[in-house]
Amino acid sequence: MANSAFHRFFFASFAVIFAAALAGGGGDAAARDNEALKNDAPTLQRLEAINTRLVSANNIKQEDFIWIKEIEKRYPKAELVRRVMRNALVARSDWQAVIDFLGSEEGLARDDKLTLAGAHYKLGNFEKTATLLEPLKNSEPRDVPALTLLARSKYAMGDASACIAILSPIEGQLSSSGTKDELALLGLAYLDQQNYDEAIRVFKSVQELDPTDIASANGLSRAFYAKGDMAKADEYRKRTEAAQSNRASMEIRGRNFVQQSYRLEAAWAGKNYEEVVRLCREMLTTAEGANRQAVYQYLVLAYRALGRDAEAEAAANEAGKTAQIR
Amino acid sequence: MKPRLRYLILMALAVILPSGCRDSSDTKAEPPRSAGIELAFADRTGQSGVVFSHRPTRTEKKWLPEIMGSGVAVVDIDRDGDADILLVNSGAVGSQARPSDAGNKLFLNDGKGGFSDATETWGFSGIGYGQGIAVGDVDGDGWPDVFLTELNGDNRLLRNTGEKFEDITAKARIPNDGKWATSAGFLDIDNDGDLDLYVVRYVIFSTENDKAAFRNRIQIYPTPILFDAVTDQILINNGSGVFSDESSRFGITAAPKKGLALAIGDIDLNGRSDIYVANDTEANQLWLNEPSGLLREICGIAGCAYSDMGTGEGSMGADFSDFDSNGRPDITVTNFQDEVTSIYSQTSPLLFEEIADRVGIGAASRARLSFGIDFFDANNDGLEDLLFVNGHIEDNINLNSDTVTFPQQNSLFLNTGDGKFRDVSDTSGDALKDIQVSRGLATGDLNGDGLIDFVVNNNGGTAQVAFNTSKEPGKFVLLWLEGSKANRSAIGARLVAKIGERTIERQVMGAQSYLSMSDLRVHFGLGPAEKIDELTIHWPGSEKQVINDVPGGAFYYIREGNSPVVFVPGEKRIEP
Repeated sequence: MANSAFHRFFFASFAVIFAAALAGGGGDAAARDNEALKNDAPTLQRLEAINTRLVSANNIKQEDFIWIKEIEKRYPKAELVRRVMRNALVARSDWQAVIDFLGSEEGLARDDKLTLAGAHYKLGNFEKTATLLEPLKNSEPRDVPALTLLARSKYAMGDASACIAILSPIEGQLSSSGTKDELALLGLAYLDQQNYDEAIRVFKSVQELDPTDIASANGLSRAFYAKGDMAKADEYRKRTEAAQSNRASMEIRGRNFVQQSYRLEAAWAGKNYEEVVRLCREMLTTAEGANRQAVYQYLVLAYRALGRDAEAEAAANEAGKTAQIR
Repeated sequence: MKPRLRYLILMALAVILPSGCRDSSDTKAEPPRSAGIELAFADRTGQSGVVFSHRPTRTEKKWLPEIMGSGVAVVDIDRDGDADILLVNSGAVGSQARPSDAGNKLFLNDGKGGFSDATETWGFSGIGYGQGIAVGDVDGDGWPDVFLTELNGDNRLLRNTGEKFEDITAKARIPNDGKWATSAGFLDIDNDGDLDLYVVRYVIFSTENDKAAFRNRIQIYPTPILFDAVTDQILINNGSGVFSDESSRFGITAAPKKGLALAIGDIDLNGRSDIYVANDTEANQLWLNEPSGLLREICGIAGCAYSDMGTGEGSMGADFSDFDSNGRPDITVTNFQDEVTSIYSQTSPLLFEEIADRVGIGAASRARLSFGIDFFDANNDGLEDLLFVNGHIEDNINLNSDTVTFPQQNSLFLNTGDGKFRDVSDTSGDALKDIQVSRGLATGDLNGDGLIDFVVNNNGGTAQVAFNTSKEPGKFVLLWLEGSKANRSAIGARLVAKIGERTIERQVMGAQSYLSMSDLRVHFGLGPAEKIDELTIHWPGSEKQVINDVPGGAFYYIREGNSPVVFVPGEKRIEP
């Protein structure tokens, strides 16, 4: 599983987990720590702020991580602290640390178990991943994240048949929910079995969901090559390369945006509002969605701080229009 | 004695299928299991006389080249039958002059693994920010010449006169367009009897266009994704040591990639050297050298360009070997932390499948960030074992991880003979306990005992010399080949050894690993056998030669068309 896919899966369920954590966990020690944390408003507030960044930007500042470690010493059993620590370790891609932190699977809730399985998967401990997830295989309703991770482990262990047996019954579900990576995995399992026609069928279904999907385009080029259809193999090879190039461009844009964000924050902290305005204008040429709205907020506030109220108003209007259009 | 590209098959089961068809009846020959011979490597750096510190000059700017390291070659420079060591140093980014302690080093071997510094005598100095090394006899005079790559494209061709190196870069018309060159390798691309050159190139870098990168708001060494790619070069030798850039004619300039490493060997066994280029974060390339004289790139469609999911990976080092004994060379590529060291098994002719997890490499390789890599028979059982060297690229990784480290243990895997490997890194001697930031790796028999040793160039650290001390290994044959009609270095030669019921194949590869070059001489482990019953040498662009009854436990010099001559490493020069 690609890092980003794992992070996506992981943080999608984060908000729910976070709310549940605040409600408290089991055990006397946990109850004590949960109660104590509830009465420690500054700590609670900072934990929430860190959580917001983890969910939105999937990163954790070094000083925040060190602070969480200190808080963990103070409230070692508090559910919220444990959740934030776990999520911070995931954001750091420190998979062995995730395993060390979650420890034995005994008594783990489903989400922790899934995280633990994911960390083992990332480190290539597929048998461990499978052992953790097998009990979830027959759950109702179907636990699709657990099943797909289990299928990945089976595939990685060279058991394409088991992978197909897991994914095939939920192919329709994966297709309707647009779960491309897992569908592509099913295609790969067929490819592994030299069942090229089935592989092509599944890969094509992914391409219908997303013509820029890399895994399925690459799978199609390999499957057609294996069948001796060089023209189609070459067509999908080109499509793969174009998609790769597009992904690289997006990543460059993303990384540049992150760097601009850091400079923006520094300029704001230094009350260098002219620089804030300049950076915002620069960032608005590429920013999208929630990022775009956040940049507008900085822009409006910077104009106001500079006493340029008319421009602040205009920026607020621009932001409003953007939000409406979206 | 690094034969390159070796594979082992039972002749009766060798199956040739047309390209593009999967071999559904792919019955694998059952190779002999490794007879419980454990591997052992002793760190002999202190006793060897090799004293080398790599100087990358890491700065707060975190310029990309500072973390890439440099290469090492293990090759017989003075024709006395033993493997010498050439270590490339880096310097300081932005400075063409090297700091005084950042010179390249040449260490000559006494035949028993004792080395003396001959850098000054031979004039093996370096300028600029040093990267890789390739070795081959470009003028056919019998003295292996050296090609050095450099960050600003100031690559150097050093002619070996037998007594010293002479810089013939200008005379040989080696072009310099200022672009970052990494690995390089010699091959006779047109099988005309002289050596041509493939130069892998990376990204457009200058201190002015540097890119900053962050992880969790901490500045780290940047990813190559932020930089533009540079096209590789194919330089064709006109037969008199003058080269012309014919990259466009060979079609490699259409889609520049961010190349770091290459492996040169005959992947489709058609008698012509093919080229595999490992590209950082992008599709790797497999250039087939076709009888038409043109190159055809098939990596993406053949299944050896990406991860299974179609993702471009780190791709820092590469090598070939038929590790699974199905008669077809496979490809291995080192990758980033959390990525496997890829094993692209050639399951059918020119059809590959990535199987690192299935053969026991996956988990251990995910835990490391790997660069140099080499397949070699470490216990002389006729099976190729695997060594790759490791070290992260973030010197401040401790700020982002409690468990991943900057220096990392190197990884050694025993080929267990059933198509799988066993991680023996923790049980194979103190050489595997020297934990540094490793980059370049080269192998060869350094002390004349018929076992393959290794040398590592460590980024910002001391080079390591490791002797193979494995107990009760099988017998060996080590062959020093020289072409007559074929190129003098015999790069591209394919050797088939019949040993009882077994058939073992090896090739003289023009390049492998990362920025490095292993011994060109061919090493056969014979297992329990006493001799090679029949040895066939397919000289590149020339005839095949058959030699019967080659006793084990000896070193042989073979000039194309002549009988083998026994030699003792380090005893005397064999004059060209």
